[in-house]
Amino acid sequence: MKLIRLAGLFARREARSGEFRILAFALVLAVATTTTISLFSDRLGRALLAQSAELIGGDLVLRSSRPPDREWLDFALEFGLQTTQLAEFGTVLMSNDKILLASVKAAGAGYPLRGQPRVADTRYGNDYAVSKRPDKGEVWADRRVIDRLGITLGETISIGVKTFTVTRVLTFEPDRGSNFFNLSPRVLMNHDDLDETKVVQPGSRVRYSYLYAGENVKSFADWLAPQLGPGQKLIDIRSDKGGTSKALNNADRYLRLIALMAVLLASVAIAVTAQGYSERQFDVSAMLRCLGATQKTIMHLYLIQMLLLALLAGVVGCLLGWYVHLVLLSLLEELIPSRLPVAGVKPLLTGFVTGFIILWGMVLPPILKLKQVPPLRVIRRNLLPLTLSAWTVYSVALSALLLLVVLLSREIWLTLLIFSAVGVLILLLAALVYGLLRLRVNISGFRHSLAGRGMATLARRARSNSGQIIAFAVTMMLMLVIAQLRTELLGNWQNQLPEDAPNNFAFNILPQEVEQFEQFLDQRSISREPVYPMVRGRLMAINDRLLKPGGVDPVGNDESINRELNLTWSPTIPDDNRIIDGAWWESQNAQKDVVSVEAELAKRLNIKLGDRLVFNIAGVQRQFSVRSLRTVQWENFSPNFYMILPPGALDGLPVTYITSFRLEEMQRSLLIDLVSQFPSVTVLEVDVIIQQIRTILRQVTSAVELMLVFVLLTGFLVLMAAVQSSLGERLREGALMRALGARRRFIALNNLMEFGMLGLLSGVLAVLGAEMINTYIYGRLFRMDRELVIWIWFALPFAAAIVIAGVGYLVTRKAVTQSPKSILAQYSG
Amino acid sequence: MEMSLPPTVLIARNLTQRVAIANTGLTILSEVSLEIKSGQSVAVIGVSGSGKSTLLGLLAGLDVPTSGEVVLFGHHLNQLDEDGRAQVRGQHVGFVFQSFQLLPSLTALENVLLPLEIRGDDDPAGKARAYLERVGLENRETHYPNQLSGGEQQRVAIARAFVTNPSILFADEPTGNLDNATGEKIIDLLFELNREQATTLVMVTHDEHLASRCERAIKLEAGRITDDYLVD
Ligand SMILES: Nc1ncnc2c1ncn2[C@@H]1O[C@H](COP(=O)(O)OP(=O)(O)O)[C@@H](O)[C@H]1O
Ligand SMILES: [Mg+2]
Repeated sequence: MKLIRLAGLFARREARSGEFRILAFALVLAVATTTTISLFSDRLGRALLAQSAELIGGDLVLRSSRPPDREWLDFALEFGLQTTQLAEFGTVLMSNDKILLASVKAAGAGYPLRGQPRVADTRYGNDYAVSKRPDKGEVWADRRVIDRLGITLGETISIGVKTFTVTRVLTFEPDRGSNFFNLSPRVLMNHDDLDETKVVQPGSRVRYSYLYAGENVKSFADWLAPQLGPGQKLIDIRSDKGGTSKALNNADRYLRLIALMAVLLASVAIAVTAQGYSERQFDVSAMLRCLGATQKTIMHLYLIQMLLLALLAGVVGCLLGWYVHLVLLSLLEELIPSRLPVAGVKPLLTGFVTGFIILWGMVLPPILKLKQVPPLRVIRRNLLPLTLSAWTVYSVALSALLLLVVLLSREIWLTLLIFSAVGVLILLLAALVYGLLRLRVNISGFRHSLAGRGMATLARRARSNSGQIIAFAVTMMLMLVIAQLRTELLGNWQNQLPEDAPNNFAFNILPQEVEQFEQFLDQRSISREPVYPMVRGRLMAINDRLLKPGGVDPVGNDESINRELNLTWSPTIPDDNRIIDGAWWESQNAQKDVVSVEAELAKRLNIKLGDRLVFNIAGVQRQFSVRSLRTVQWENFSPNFYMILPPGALDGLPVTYITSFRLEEMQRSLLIDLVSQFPSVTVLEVDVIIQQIRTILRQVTSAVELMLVFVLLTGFLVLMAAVQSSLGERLREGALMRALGARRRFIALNNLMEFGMLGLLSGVLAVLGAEMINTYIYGRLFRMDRELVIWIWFALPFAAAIVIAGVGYLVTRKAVTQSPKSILAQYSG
Repeated sequence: MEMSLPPTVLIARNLTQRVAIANTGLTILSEVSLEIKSGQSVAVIGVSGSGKSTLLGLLAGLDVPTSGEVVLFGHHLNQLDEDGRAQVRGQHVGFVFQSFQLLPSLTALENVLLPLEIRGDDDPAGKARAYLERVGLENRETHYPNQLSGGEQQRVAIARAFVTNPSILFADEPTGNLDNATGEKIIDLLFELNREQATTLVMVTHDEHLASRCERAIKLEAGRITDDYLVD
């Protein structure tokens, strides 16, 4: 109890010292960062699951090509699940005298389970969400149905033998799946009307779905899975990821990486500071020993101080983290469902524990030394405690860092790999720095130059300086990695979706209409993509391997072979496609029986260069050998194709054309002209999706920038910590030199040069290290290409030299302005 | 306990201290033996480098000799471990140093409080205040060492040394960092308190005048006792 009071007294007194403040501040930052990111990630993760559920319409979906066992719907109630059913089919709609091929979805009782359909009350009216299905005798139809059939709301259409009133414009269906290129016009009806339409007969092509939602879908899925027959499959929220969740997941990964770096930087700052703090406590410890304190007492005294610090930093950091996570969430507001699940206790605990882990790893080893300070130090000042073996110190620190990585990273092994790379890098740096500093630069001209003098001063304190250089280098390296990642990640995303991205697709342009269609758009100065030919074909076999739809192997279940693929031909490769294997065809009169395949599909179906692909195109079998693999920017809203063939390869087969174009808000009404002038053309508006993606980009950018503030702050802390740690020594030396008659200008210049050289050296090392890590991260983690930013290689070392010299100069200014006597008195104790 | 105290409080037998420098051994003290009686004031004199501080460190149990032994209040110091010696120090020993050795982050009062807190005494604040008043610094309680003059700092150090009522006080050149006038006052204070509390005093100094105020003087030359006499 008395010890706690004493520890409290010490802690309170120490709180006035710069070191203690850096320690506390770094700790608070680390805790806050961890808390923020854990809270954010926790709630985001839950929100994402909710969103995926929305995309498939439930937490679990049974898809079937024939009516599934009715019991599978009823029995789910036993598991406490909510259920509904869907039947989707293509059919002919009739109204007045017009007919239209459309795809109809009949929704059962309980619809919708997850997510909400959106509807509007007029053709161009604003849409809003509803939580119901159409009433009996009513249907909701999308704009294409309304435009094509030329009807208005309140008029009727027939499906099969039954007539329905169209009561609303359907603008969005939650359970549309990730495939928003479902081309046909769409109608939503009530499942109870289905039988009366008499559309569904034995043998009709209908996709039946049972949708389930609730806590126990997993155990229900376990019960159901073994009973499935051919043509039936279960989809859960993890198996269908839409574009948004991919972007959010990437953002989450990136934010985590940033947070981890901030925490590691804070650890560096803390380690550097703790070292200095401990050394300053040698005298205190010796005096305490002298006054009769046992080793245990001293350890308790410092451990209690550490615990107090960790508690305080834990509370403040958690509060701060809570607040920042709210800011982060509000920045990402529109991405995240408004009713977010409440955060669990675990993220807060994670943050809280971080403080203890860092203290344990970074502060405990130097504090342990205090136990060993010989009491004789009160008489003989130069006596030092036995040092702990380097092995102990590093293994404790390393295990703490590992713990942090495990706490903070989702991809533990990958992160560990990165950090062991960083570790090796640091060791190399240490060796290099030490070697460099020990190297006597013997070029006589250099030795007497200013830089040479800086170098010489650096070398004199090789040990403490190599520590500082490494701290600076690692800090700048991590910041460089993050900054570059940020620029390129966001740049990449933004490039995919420029301001003038196309927001409408036009399909089914007939060959004889292509020219007119192009003219229609061009005359109205509507920007558009090239018009591509499109032939639909089903992939039947790869070499001699037959692909059976609905089979049990993963390849058989791949979406791409369960439906027709869009094939096109082109003499040149589309703008943002890139060849990753093989070669594009050079001339017009090259082979005709080759194909370029999208790389991810090729990977999923295990397609290699030179493989023979067999397609069924309008009943005709055609073979092509794989000439190249290509990456595609799916999110750029240009027509994209899995399969591209050389011109002439598909001659004689039925072809339509496709393009995408951009309509401004004002030009919306042109769509009506377009549709009436080209009745066969299908126009798909993707504004909503574009808007959604753009929002994501904007919000993710601000979120990332917010987290970068943490990294900047911790980086600055490292700088302060390193300068502070050498302050005493520098001041004493400066004062001594002045006592010996050195001019102020000389000392100031000396300091400036030393810090400058320190900055330059660490800048060079930082650039080297960052280059290595970046290569790794881009190659392995994000799998993206990157542009080398060469100017950084030169700019950073010089910038570092200037900044560090500046900060160092400011902090050590005392050495020049304060009287030597007062400094010597203060710092020689 | 106090009553059964033996008349001889400190015995040193054949103290030798050697340190290894480079490959050769340097003998700092050789074969030093002495006995000090309770309440006696002893000056250890000798030129700088003669081994005075080393001897003081050994007698106070701050260090252990290469050979020989020290018995302090019946405790065989070399048979104890560091923590054992620390406890003996906390119980019986007070220190005053040339460079004051106050903790810079603690106020004057807190510095005096420190040994009491470590020992776990009752009402430490009351005792500490009383001693600070005794050395004439009652209105400097909240001042930090760097706000006090050298003499004032040494007063605080003296208050810290006496606040635990030590049986023996070790002083290593207590006036070494002070001007003559201030040093004189400090010594007056030291002897006053010493008399009041009947403390045994071992004071290292190279100042003959100071030594003459003690009852006994031991002269060290190159690590050996060359003279041991009572001052008249
Ligand atoms: N640990 C040590 N290593 C090397 N030399 C030492 C050590 N301790 C003391 N000495 C040397 O021993 C001699 C006596 O030191 P000291 O006891 O401090 O003398 P005094 O206090 O009389 O001036 C000095 O020359 C000193 O340099
Ligand atoms: Mg001495």
